[in-house]
Amino acid sequence: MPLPPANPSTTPPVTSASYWGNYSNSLMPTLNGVKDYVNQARVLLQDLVPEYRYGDQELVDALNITLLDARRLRSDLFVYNLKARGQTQSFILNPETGAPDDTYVEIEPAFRIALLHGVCGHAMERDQEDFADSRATAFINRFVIGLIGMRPNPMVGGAGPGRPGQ
Amino acid sequence: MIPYDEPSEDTIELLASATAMLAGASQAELIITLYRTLKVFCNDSNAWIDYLPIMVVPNKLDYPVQPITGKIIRLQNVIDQNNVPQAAAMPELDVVHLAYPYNQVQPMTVIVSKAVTNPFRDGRPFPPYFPDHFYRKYGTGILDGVVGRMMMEAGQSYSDPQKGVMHMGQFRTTVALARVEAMRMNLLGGQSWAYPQQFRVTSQRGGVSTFNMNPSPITAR
Repeated sequence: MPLPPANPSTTPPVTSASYWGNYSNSLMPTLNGVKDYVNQARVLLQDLVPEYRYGDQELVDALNITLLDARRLRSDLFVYNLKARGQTQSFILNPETGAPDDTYVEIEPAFRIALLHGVCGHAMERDQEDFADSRATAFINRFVIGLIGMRPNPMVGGAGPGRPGQ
Repeated sequence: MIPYDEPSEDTIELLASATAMLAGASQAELIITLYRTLKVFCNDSNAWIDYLPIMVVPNKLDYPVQPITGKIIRLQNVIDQNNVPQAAAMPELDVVHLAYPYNQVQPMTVIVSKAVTNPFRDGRPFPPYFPDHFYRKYGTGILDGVVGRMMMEAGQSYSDPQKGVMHMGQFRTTVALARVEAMRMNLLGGQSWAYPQQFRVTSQRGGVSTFNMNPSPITAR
């Protein structure tokens, strides 16, 4: 399988990052490639020590699914990309390294943080503990609010073993 | 399409203002909405005018015309080298159809209304070319049109139908102003009503006409 195109914007800046190109698009280095999302999601998920609780493949899948949801909520972020014919991006692990790479995630910088929260929320949705549900809800909230400014209904935690239902 | 590298300062200012007024709006949507707003502005005001020279030859009635910037949406007039209107129509856009054949070769000028085109560059939304002087005169109203249209969208963080209606009202006022000023050729104090065109004459008896404000065809200068 051919490798996805390398992201030129990951070239180390010659000068201070504050003077590094046009920040309105792919040259904005913050949350630029798939690897950036996975790394930052691990920070928010407090999953920085290997063996990871959330594997690379799972977080890349979470990114893909989050992009689909972002497409549903904010199609204007996707449909005007004529190069991609308005399609939603989807990513895989780098076949050579088996890890997330620098492939550019095409989304306007202002919405990258929402996408990151969506990745975390989707990753945490699988957990069953109540605190995880509330954190997942918080992440999903920030994802949706970041995109459309409205808060979705909260995720309600299920009853644990031996505990009455609520 | 005229090649231009960067949008004008006025365009950037307008988009920046719209961004500040519409929390959560994407740049792509803003640029496309600007494009739609300018299309409505051009279509309803006929303010963006171009003068295209043609060389009329005997036994030929149809003449293709193509402006350098924008696209033709309507034929306003065809004048000969003496500034006298000639009967013509444009049943198919971009082709002038003269009503009658002429016996001799002569230059004429086709006056057309235009609208913006090409809202993309490299597959991404890019502000379309639009002359700066329109932003100079109507920039605030065009901003109202962009913001109003965005606010009328449903289910977005910047949705606000009430304010949207207000902004759209101001935009419509701007379009009406542009339409009238284009008709009066930006002449302050020009006649404030449109003379019934079926009764128009080319002489100046009974009043001062702005008819000869039209430029002569280039070849006749």
